[in-house]
Amino acid sequence: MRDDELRSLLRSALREVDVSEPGRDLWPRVVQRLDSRPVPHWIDLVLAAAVVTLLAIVPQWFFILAYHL
Amino acid sequence: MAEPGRDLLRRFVDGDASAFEALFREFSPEVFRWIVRILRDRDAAEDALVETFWRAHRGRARFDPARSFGAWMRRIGTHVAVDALKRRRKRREEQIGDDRFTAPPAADPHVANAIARAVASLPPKLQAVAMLALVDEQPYAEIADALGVPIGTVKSRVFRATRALREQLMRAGVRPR
Repeated sequence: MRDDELRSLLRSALREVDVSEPGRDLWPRVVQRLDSRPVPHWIDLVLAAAVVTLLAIVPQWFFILAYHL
Repeated sequence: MAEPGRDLLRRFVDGDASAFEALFREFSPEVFRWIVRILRDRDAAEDALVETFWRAHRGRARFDPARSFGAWMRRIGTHVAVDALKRRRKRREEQIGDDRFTAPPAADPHVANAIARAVASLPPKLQAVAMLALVDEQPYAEIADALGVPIGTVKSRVFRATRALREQLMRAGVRPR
């Protein structure tokens, strides 16, 4: 199968897609997205909990941690 | 598309909401058209457009008003679209099903399904390049700019996508008419 045959097959078989402008105003959705508070990732929460636990057990490590931040 | 004035761009970088809305009104149709060419699904492209402008707003401090705003937005939009393709691929692997690359009813169902499966099986970055270069015939330079890669990388991805599609279609017994 030549390249041009492959291109032609793809174009004929894939659904035509309408590339005109969105049918509705999406600005309100952008504003809504900007106003929403980001949900922290679970890894961040686990890390924060681990640091707090570590400092509760070994408070003198606070200075080591502060030095590395 | 004409580039907006430096003053408008500077106000956007400084966090002016009205400047951001003006840029959205001016550039969202063009960015949407680019994204929908990659995703080939208008609903998914609307979600991606919102995500694109949200990311642009979040990263506005990194934008240099001396550079092209349209090119910057297209690049963000391309990354958002590729992320959407990755999620789609993951859903497909989890066998939830995906019909984004379904064929028009008039096409031979066997051929159409084989092509849809072959396209959907490409890695997302190759899929994006295949849609833009092979199906929509966008210039390589524009694709390279939107992906933030050299033209040579685009050519290489087109080559790999073409080879993978050809192999898959030959295996499925699809021959050109």
